[in-house]
Amino acid sequence: MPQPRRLVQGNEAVAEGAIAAGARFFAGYPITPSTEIAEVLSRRMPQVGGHFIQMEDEIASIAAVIGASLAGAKSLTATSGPGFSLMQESIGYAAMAQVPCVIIDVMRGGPSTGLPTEPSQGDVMQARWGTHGEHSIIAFVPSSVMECFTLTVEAFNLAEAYRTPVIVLSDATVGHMREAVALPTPDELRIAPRGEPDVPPEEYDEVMSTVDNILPRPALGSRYAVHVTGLVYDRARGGAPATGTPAVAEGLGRYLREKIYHHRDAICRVEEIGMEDAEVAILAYGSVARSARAAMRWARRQGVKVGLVRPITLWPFPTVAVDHLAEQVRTIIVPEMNLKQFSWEVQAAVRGRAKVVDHGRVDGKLIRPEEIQALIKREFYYHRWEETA
Amino acid sequence: MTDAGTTTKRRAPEAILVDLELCKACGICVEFCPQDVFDRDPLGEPVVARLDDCTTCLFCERHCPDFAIEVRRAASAADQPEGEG
Amino acid sequence: MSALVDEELVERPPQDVSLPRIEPHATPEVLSHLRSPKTLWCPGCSNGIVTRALIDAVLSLELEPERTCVIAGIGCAGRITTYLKWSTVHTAHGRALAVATGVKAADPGLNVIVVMGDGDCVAIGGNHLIHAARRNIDVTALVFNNSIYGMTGGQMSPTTFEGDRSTTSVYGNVEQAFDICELAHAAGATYVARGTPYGYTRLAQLIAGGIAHKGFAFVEAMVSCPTYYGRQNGIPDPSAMMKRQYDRSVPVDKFDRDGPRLHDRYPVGVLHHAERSEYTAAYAEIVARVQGEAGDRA
Repeated sequence: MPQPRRLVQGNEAVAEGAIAAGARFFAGYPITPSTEIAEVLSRRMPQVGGHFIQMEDEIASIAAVIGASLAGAKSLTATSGPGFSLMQESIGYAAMAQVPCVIIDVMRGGPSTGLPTEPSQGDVMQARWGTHGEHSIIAFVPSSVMECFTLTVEAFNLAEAYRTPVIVLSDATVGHMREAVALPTPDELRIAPRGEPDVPPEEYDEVMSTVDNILPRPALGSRYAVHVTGLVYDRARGGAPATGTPAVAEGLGRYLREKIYHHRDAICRVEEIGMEDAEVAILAYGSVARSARAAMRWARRQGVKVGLVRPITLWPFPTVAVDHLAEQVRTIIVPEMNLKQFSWEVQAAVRGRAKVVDHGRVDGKLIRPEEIQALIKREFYYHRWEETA
Repeated sequence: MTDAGTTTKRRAPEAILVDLELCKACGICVEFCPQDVFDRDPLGEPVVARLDDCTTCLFCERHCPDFAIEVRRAASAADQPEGEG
Repeated sequence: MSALVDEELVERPPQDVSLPRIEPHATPEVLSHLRSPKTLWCPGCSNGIVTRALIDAVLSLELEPERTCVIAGIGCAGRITTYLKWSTVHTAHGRALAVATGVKAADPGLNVIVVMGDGDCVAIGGNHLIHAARRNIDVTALVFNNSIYGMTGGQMSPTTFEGDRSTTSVYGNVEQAFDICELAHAAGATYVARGTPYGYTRLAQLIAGGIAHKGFAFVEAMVSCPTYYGRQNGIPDPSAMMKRQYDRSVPVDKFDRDGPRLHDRYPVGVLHHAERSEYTAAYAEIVARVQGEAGDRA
């Protein structure tokens, strides 16, 4: 039975989603526009028997999150661009060592100190490649307060299922907006448990996960002896460092990629609205998708066949959805609050089968429906457009 | 080097076992043995040359950085005082 | 004296600490706690001696191996994680204390031992050291201080002395070394001790005292790196280096703490000991209070 409908802030919804998902450890550092997540969790964690700690910096925060996760707690941190940059090394550590955790990045104008109180979508590529080395990542991008809640829950579920860090890319608009929502209660949600391997401790060192059977790692302090490292390690020998064996390094690297990409159909989520007969599509995500939806509805009211494709996961890239799109429409408009970070990827996936029109803004202001409407108009040159919005 | 004062001579151990697979020939056991029990072979590894002089002080066993030495105590090791250092 | 203003901080004279009794174990017992005794440490590197002292400390305290974990940073000291059978976490460089904070906060019942080299602890990890000490979180930091960066080939460290040579101070170091025990103390550590591998049983005892202490314990082991520090500074022989580390040490009750800091004289033993509110216990009280108030309202 859901809670009563009330005005909830996006950041608050993230915090409540984490609690609902079973998160019991938060370590973070204040940074606009994410700070409310820390403030809400500092109050909520003791209420649910969890732990909140404000660490000395973002580097310490992600390190503490990794430690708590290894000790058996579902853990998260929340930050914005500058803090996200600081966390990159340890995000890679979590990917390499296969430590489930959730990182909330409420994007703001960048680079550097940038525009602390204004939105952007400038961390899209950083979410994919911010940490060094070949790795894969999962990233969600909410575009509503309810999605701040539900996608945070999903982030924890996928972190557990795939033993990986998962990033939630919110932004200053989505994070600070308030919408009337009735947040679900935990019993209405699918919540993935941590689990324990089903082999006895003596056999644990030799048992290996496969892409179809990803085994959970037991917690530190359980009856299993656990060895975690950021060095290349041999999964067949209890995770012992194996930097001198090229075959092990290759095997591990490919496993870490396949672990996620093998399941991309289950992981990738895309919302499609009005796409059944669309001739032109807008591909937009996060807060920009809200403007895109308004522009799409404006076009449809005038009988123009425009649809919206809204990635809910940005990474892994929604190859299948974009592939279908390229076959169906003649133009894909990709508005973003950055300069072509995602549209380059769309263009690569489309491979010339459709025109890709990018539209970027880095002034800290939300892309307005009128901007997207202007781009739509250009695609239907002979249509007699009514001037009303 | 600490001076243990006057001590009664402790019994020699049953054996001093050196695992040459682990030994890296650093020389610490040879250099610090207060009774000069060891010689060094051409590779620098310790050779137990004067076992009877050993007082089971256990300095070599504890200060081997490679866990290569076991001083196997004599049968009634229970009534020996602890080694120094 | 600590700069913290806290009425419950009681600085006790170091002699006041009753240290646990150490029962050094025979080599076969020690080996049974190692996954692999063949280490990558150089001939004469005293890291192996301190590792043995740590094992003896843990066994003498009769800690449950299942509830003990060693978290280590990057460097030669950090490789201890490869060798110990107990649960280990080999973290990113400098982040061991931050990771340990998360581990301990999530499971306060765990025995958490944090092994770091001098670079890992006070260079890249310096910020995490001062905050872990400030929080007085109940973990034991064991620092293998060899005054050099060994793993990367012999560069200077914040504990390399003025005038010392290294591969990044080829004309002689112009910087001063940290006294990392005083740094930890000033930041709020409530148990601070220093020992040498030469003084093996005493070092094991100091480590055990740190583990037994409820609060942030900081133990510095003055280890030797004959390969890089030794060869670049005229003391390449492992035995000579280990002896020198010992000869430079002065029992704390005989050490002139008001005199000038000298690089070739340092106090050993328990240097500071105090009782102060411990982080995980204080947070647990908050949780109990919050949940109690919620229960009252229910």
